[in-house]
Amino acid sequence: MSTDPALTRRALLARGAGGLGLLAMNGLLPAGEPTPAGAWAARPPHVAAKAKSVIWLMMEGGPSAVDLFDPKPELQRRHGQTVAGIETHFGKPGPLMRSPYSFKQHGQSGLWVCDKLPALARCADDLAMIKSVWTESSNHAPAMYQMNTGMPRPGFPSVGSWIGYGLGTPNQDLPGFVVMSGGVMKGGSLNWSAGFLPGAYQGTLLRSGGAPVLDLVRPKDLTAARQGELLTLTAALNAEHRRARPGPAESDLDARSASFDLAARMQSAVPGVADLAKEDAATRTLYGLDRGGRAAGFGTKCLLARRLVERGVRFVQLYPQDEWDAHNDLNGNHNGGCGEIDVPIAGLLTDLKRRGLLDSTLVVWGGEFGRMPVSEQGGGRDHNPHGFLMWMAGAGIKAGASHGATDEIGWKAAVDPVSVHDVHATILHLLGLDHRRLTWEHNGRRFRLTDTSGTVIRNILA
Amino acid sequence: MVLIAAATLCVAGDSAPTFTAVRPLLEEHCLRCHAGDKAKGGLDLTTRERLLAGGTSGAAVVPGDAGASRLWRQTAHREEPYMPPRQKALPPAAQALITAWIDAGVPYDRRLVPPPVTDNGPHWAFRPLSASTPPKSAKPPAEWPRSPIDAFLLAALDEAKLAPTPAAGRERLLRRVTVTLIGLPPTPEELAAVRADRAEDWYERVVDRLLASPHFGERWARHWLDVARYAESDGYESDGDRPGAWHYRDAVIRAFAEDLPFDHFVRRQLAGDELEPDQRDAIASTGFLTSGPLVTTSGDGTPRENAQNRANEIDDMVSTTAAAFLGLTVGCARCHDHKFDPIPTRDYYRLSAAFTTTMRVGASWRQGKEGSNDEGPRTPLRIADRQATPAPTWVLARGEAAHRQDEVAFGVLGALTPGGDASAWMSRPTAVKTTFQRSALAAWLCDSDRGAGALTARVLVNRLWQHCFGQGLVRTPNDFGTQGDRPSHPALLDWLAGELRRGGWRMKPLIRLLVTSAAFRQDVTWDAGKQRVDPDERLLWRRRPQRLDAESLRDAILATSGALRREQFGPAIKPWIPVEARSGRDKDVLPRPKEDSPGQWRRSIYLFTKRSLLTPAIDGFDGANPNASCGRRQVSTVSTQALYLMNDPFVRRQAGLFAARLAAAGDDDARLRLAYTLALARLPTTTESAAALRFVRAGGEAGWTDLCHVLFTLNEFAYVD
Repeated sequence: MSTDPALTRRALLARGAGGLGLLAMNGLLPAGEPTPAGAWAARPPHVAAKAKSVIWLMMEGGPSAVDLFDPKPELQRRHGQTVAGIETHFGKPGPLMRSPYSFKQHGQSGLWVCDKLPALARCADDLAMIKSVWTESSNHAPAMYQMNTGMPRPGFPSVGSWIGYGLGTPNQDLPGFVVMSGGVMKGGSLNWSAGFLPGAYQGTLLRSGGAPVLDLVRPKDLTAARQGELLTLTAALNAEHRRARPGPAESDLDARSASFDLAARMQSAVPGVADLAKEDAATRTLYGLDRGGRAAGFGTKCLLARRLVERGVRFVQLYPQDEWDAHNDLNGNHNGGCGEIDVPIAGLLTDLKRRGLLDSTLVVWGGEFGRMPVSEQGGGRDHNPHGFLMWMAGAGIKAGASHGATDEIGWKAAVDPVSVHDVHATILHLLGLDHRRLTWEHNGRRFRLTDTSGTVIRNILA
Repeated sequence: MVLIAAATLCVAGDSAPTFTAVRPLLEEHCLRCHAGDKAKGGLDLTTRERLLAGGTSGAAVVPGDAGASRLWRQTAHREEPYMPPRQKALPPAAQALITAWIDAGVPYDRRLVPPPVTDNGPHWAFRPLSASTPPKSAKPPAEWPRSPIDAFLLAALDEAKLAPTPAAGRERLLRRVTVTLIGLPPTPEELAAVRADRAEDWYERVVDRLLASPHFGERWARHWLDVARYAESDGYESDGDRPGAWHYRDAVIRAFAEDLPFDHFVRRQLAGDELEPDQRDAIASTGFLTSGPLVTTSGDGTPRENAQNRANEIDDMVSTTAAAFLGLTVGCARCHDHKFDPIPTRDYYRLSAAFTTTMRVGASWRQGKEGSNDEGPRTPLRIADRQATPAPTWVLARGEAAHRQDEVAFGVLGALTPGGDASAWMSRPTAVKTTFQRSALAAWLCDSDRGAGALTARVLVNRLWQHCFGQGLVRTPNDFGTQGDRPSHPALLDWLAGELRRGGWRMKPLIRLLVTSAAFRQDVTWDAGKQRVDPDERLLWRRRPQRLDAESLRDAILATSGALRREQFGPAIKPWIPVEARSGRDKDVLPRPKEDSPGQWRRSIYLFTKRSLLTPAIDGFDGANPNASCGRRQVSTVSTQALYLMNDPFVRRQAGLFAARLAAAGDDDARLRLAYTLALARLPTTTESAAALRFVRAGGEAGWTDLCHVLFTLNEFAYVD
C-alpha cells in the first residue's frame, strides 16, 4: 500500500487554512498546560535509559519451563511418583511427568535449550534467564491481567500504557503502543487497556493483513484529494471557532484540531510500516515467512515489530496464534508452539542485532504463568503460577545471565523468587523509569504499575 | 509533534523581587508541612537560616540560582516529588515570583508563620451539614442572583473581585441545557419555538419540558451506570454474556425519569429484594451489586483461589457501595488501616459482612455452556441472600481469603457513626429469608441524624453539580476523604445537600435549581484578567465549553442525521465491531451483527457493553471503564478519535443520511441553514455559508454528504458552549 499523497504533511501545510491550524500547533500557541494531544509527546526518562523500545513476546497460555529451558534431572528420575500437597486448577493432580524432550547446552553461556527450539538455541548467548517467576493466579485471565497490568483484576493500565505515560514516543506518526493479537486472547482488550490513565495511552491493535489499524482506510466513496479538501474545510471552520474563543483555557480545541493532522499522518505512515513487500527475500526467510502456517504468521508479527521499533514505536506486544495451554497433550501442544516461535524469534534477535537495534530494544519472553511438573489427563500439564520462566534480551541485559531457580522438580520458585512487580520494575528501569516515581492519582490513591512492591532484578543487568 | 509548550517564565514587569510578594505563597502552599521541628523531610522554611540548612535530602535552594534550586524545580514540576503534593504546578506568575526571589538570594524580612490550624474537628466531609443560608450581595450584577445558588457563588466572586459573565444567547443556551438534561441536541422546531417565544419565562419552560422528556432518564441513568461500573458481561477469561443485566439499566432509567427519591433509590440498589420483593424495578435495582466483573473459571480452580475470588467479589460490592454513596475509598482498608482516612481494616470487614450472605441470581451465558441458573434474558440478574442468618465474616490479613483473623459482625463505619453499631438501623420482619443487613446499610446511608446521610447527600448533590457544570464543587466525586479535593464552596455544598433532604431527596427539583441559575446561563467569554485571579475557574466566572461524552457524541450524530431510533428499554443491542478492533476468539454468546444496520441506531445507553470487547465508538472517546466505579470520565484527545470521525463507515453513512435529510429543505441556502441548525443549533455566518457552498459545489454528487461529514468532525459539534 502506498502513502496517500493528499495526506502528507507537505500537502497539508500547503493547503491554506489547514496550514493555519498547523502553524498554530507548531509553537504559536499560548504557553500553558500540556495538552491532551501531547499525551504521547516524547519526554525524558527519570534516569539514563538503556532501552528505548520494548518488544514483548507474550506466550499466552503458559509455556512449560521444564520442557523448554530448565531441565530437571530429578523430574526425569522420579517420573511416575506422586507428590503430596500439590493443588491443581483442573481436577486431581497426576504423578510427576518427565519431559518428552531432550536438552543440550548451547553457546558460551551453556544455556540449556530443548531440541524443539534449534534456531533459538543458536541465540543462547543473547538471552538472560529468569527461572523463578511467580504470579498470584492459576487462572488465565487474572494471570494475564497481572502480567500485563500488575494486578490480577481487570481495569488497570497496562505496561505499555504506563510506559507511554512515562516517556511518550519519538514518532508521532505511529501509535506508541502497538499490540498484535493472537488467536485466543483471554481477557481481551483489557490486556492493553489504559485503565484509569487517559484513553490516549491504550494499545492500538495492528493486523498484518487487510486494513492494519481500525478506521485507517478512508471511506470508499471518498477520493484522497477530496478527503484532503474535507480536512481543509474542517481546519478552517475550527480555526474560526477558535478565534471566537481565545485564551489558553480552550487549548483542548487546538489539541483536537491537531489530532486530525496526526490522524492524517498516521493514515499515510501506518500502511507503509505494515507493508512487508520491501523486505528482501533473505530477511523474509530469516523470520520464517517462507515456512507458511503458524511460523510464517508469527514471523510476520516479529518482522512488523522490528519495523515498528526501528521507527521509534515505544512498546510492541505480540501474541502467538495458538496458546501454550497444554492440558492433555504437552508434546503435541508444545511441538506446535515451538514450531510457531522458534525461527521467528531467532530471526528477530538476529535481525535486531545486525541492525544495531538490539542495543536499544529490550526483548521480553514469557507467559502469564507456567506449567506443573505433574501430569494432567495422562500427557498434559496444568497451570503453575508458583514457579515459571521468563527471559529477556537486548538493551541493558547481561547476555547469558541466569537468575533464580525453582525447586528440584520445577514446581515452586525456590531461589530468588521474582514477582511480576519485579519483572515490571526491571523493564521500567531499563527504560530509565523509576517504578516508584511513575504514579497516577486515581480515586484517592497514587497508583503504580508495581502497586506497593517491585525490586529491579540486578543480576540480569549488564 | 510536541504540543507541550514549556510554561513561559516571564518575570513580572519591573517590580523588584521582594520577600513581601513571595511570603503569602510560601505560607499558603508550603508552611502547612514545612514548618517547625516536625517539618516534612526535615525542611523548615520559617527562617532563612533553616531554609539554607536544607532537609534530609539536601539543599532546597541555591541562592542566586533558581534553576538549580529544588524548591523551584519541584514547585514548578520540573523535578519529582512535585510540590505541593497532589496539586498542580504553581501558576506561572507564582513560579516567576519564586524564581525572582531565589535569584535575589532568598531574602527574608521576618519569620514565616504557618497558617493557623482551624481544623481540629473531624474532616469536613464527616461533619453534620452546616446550617448555611444564602448570603446577600451588596451590588449584584444584572440578572443575578436568579437562585440561592447564585447568591453563594456571588459571595465568593465578590471576595475575589470578579464579576460573572452575562448570559449566553438563546440558541446557545438551548443547546447547552438540552444536552445537559437529555443528552441530545435540540430539534429545529425547538429552536424555532425558542426564537419566537416572547415570554419572560421561556427558559424555565424549556427546562420543565426537558425534565419531563422520556430522554431525561436515559441521560442521567448513564451517569449513574458509570458509578455502578455497569456492563453486560462477566469479564475475565470467558467473559460470559449477562442476558438479564439490562433490567438494571432500565430500572435506573425509570428511577431518574420518574424522579424516585434518592433515599428510596439507595434502598433499592442495595436491598430492593428485601424491602420490595414484589416490585419488578426494586428487584432489578439490586443489579447494582451484581454489575461488577466476576471470575468464571474454566476449570474447577484451586480451593484457595476460589475463596479469593469470592473475597474479591465481596470487595467489589463494598468498594463500589462506598465509592458510589459515600465518596470514600473504603477499599483501601481491605489490606491495612486506611492510610489517610479514619477507616480501620476492621470497619471494612464489618461493612463487608452485609454482603457475605449474598449470591447472584440470573443467567450468565458462557461460550459452550449456559450458566447453571438458566433463567434467560427475561429475568433480571440480581442479588439475593442465600440464608436468613448472618454468615461468619473474618478480617483477612492483607485481604487474603486464606488468612483469616478475628471474626466480625456487620457494622457501619465508625468515622460516621462512632462505634459502628448497626443495630439502630436493623429492622427485620419475621419470617423472611434474608438477613436484612443490606437494608440496614441502606437505611444508615440515608439517615442524616445518626447515620451517613449528610455525606450521602453531599456526594449526590456534587455529582448532580458535576453533570450540570462540568466539574464538581468537589472535583474528586468518588473521594470525599482527606486526600480528595476540598469543596470550592463548602457552604453552598451543604446548603444543596440540605435542600435535597428538605425536598424529600428528589433530584429533579435540585437539577432544575442548578440549570435555572444565572451561573449556569453564563456565556463562555474568556477573560485574561479573571483567569489570572482564578486559573482553574473554580469560582465559575464564566461557562466553560464542555465536550460531548462518548455516548452523547454518537447520539448526536444519529439525531442530526435523523436516523436515531428513539424506542426505549429492553435487551441491549450488540453493535457491529469492525474486524480491525477484534482479537482472539469470539466470546459472544448472544449474537453480534456482522455489519452496521439501522437496528443498532438506538441511543448508546442501549448498546451492549462487553468487558473484553468494548465498542470503539464509546471506548475510544473515554467511555467509562466498567471494572470499577467511575465518578468522572477522562477527557482525552487522540488521533484515533479523528480517524474514527474521518473514516469509520458508520460516520460516513450517517453523513449520507444527514445529506438526504437536507434535500427536502429546498435550495442550497435552505439546506445549509437546516444543516447548521441540526448539527450546531445555529445558522451559518455569511463567511461560513460561502465556504461551505463552495465546498459542496466542488464535490459533485457527494458534495452535501461531504459537508455533513465535515460538520460531524467539527470542534463545535463536539464541544457545547
